[in-house]
Amino acid sequence: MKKTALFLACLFAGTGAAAAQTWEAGLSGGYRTIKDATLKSVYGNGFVYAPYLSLAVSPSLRIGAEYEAGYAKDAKIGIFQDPSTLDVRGFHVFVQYGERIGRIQPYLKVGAGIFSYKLDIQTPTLSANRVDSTDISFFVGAGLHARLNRLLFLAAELKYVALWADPFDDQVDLGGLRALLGIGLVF
Amino acid sequence: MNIRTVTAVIGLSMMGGLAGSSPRVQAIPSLLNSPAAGLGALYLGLPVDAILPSSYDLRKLYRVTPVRNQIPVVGTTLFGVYGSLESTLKPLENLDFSENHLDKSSYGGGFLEAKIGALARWADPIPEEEDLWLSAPSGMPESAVKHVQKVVFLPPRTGALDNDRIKQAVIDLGAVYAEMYYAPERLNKAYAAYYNEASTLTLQSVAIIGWDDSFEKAKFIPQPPGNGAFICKNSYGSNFGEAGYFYVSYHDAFLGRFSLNAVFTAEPAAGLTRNYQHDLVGCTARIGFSAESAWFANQFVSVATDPLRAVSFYSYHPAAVYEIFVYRDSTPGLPRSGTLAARISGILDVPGYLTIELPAPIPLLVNQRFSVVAKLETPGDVFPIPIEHPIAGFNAPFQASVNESFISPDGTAWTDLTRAQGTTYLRSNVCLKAFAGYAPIYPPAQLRLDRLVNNLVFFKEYVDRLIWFPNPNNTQGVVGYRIYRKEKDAGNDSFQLLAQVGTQNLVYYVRGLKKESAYVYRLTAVTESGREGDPAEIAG
Repeated sequence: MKKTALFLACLFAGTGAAAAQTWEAGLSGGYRTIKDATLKSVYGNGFVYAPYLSLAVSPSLRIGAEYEAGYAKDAKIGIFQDPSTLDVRGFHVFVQYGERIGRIQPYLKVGAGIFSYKLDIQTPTLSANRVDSTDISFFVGAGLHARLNRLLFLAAELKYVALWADPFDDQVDLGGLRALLGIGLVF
Repeated sequence: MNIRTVTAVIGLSMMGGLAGSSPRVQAIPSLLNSPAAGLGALYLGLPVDAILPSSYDLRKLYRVTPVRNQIPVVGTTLFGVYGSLESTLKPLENLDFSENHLDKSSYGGGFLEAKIGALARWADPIPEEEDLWLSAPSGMPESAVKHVQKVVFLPPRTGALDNDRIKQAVIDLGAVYAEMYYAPERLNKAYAAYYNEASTLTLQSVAIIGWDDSFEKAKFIPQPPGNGAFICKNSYGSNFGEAGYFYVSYHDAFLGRFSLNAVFTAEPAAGLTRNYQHDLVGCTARIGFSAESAWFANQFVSVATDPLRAVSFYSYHPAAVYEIFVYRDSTPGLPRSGTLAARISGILDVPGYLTIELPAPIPLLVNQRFSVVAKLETPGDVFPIPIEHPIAGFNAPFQASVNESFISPDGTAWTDLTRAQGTTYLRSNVCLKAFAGYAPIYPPAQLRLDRLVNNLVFFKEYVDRLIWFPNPNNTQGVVGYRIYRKEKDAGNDSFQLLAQVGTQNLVYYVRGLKKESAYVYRLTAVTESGREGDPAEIAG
């Protein structure tokens, strides 16, 4: 947690010195996978959406923040097939590096943040073990911005988000790939 | 009046063995020991199948409980009793009874009838955990968890090939109590084979749980005349013989040959609730009037309104003809006075300690005097009346009072037993009990407990799963089951009601447990009248 806060502070501290600042705001959506096999067998892969905001600190370097949500799935779990809901959402700050080639800007992206995960099992006997916790998450990815005009661009991004959750004894790998498409605005 | 007595129907035969003399007492003119009218020749109960299997093993049918360990005690006749009783309750119930408690409550030491006496008076059985083997007297009140209402007697084997009745009893009822003499040097450890043709060093009881007709004689040391062996459950721990069992040659000179063999059965304690009895010791003698039939009676005063449902007595005849009468408001000293409330007659199909159910429950008032009168006809035997009577070597608190027990040659002229023949029977009672209460409610059958792990990805939930079956012996409609639970190390008064469930799904999950959680569960059946039966218990 402290490391993440430090990372965020460093990122935004540098923005004040940047020249020719431009902001980008966008919304991506797409498919995500779940790495943990048991979790995947219960809830499966799913869809997420991710609004984001970034700021150019140099012609090829951006910093930003994004929020991911949308993976909230209902399924029956365990030997009793109890109704349950798994909700994973979180916040990343990132550094994005990319060189513009005409209308296209491929980029690499790394980030870190905090994700929350919540598992509600609708059984009175399990109230003591309800899962509602947060953990640090990291990601690495690559993508492509395609300018439509001066203001709008389309985005495609593939990234792997790492998230290990261990609210109790067992560590669960909530990480997974994201394949996202989106649209953004430059201002 | 000419009263004749046969003493210690079973006991003296044992005493003979203990004293080192011939273990078979031919001198006693009893039906049991008379060669002319031997019980074996007349035995009609448990008809033997035309073809019995050449081998049989109750272990394969889950009808034996684990092997117990009597060590450091070398010889005892206690463990064969519960070896039989626990077996006859299997596979529906899995219980472990306290031999230590039976030992303490059996007046008369090693005599079989002393143990039957303790069981019949409902002093036993109690769970093993409440009185561990060789523990000191605890002063715990006697409260039997089962009611032994029937003990079937099997005559001693008359020879090496006189085995069919025991075999049939094993098939029909369960393990058979039998006495033998154990001499360690006669055991061929290589085959767990035992053959004793002479040594009478240590009296021991075992439970016969099967046989193998083709068990080779070469496996015994010394070698007997022929093949074949009974499979016996001993009580020397599981390191003895073949995991606690051994093969005793059919030709063994003693196994089941010098005293009665017996099969013990029991009913739920939730059923008959009152045991009206004067014979607290057990049947130690029989008397008669030089005739094959005789009458005997007991008078009781009711202590509760539970209706009278059954009577019990001993019969050593294989096909005794009985008539039972119950009179309410009888006058002290006159057993056939008052109002005739029930009459039932029939022919017994086995010898033993037997309970006869009355045709209908007889309502009783508190402090109401009632008489139970029996007429027993034993063809070929002139000692039909079972009594408890002081006999040599039987150290028991025999006691009797006037207006308790009565005998009669014809049902008309009655004699108070304590006043018969001077002081001869001053401390004697007839063995005739009356039982009040209700139909027995048997516990759920084949109760099983499994610990399940419910993988909920982020954590594991531990779950106790209880599975059971309806007990087929229940005659009253069971409408549900109650589930109780206590911590494993807590006392038995810590059981808490966990749930009451119906009869549709005979499975119950106790969820939300921790890995280290350990509980003991009890299940009881509940009838439509709201009565609750005996518990089945299982520990996690």
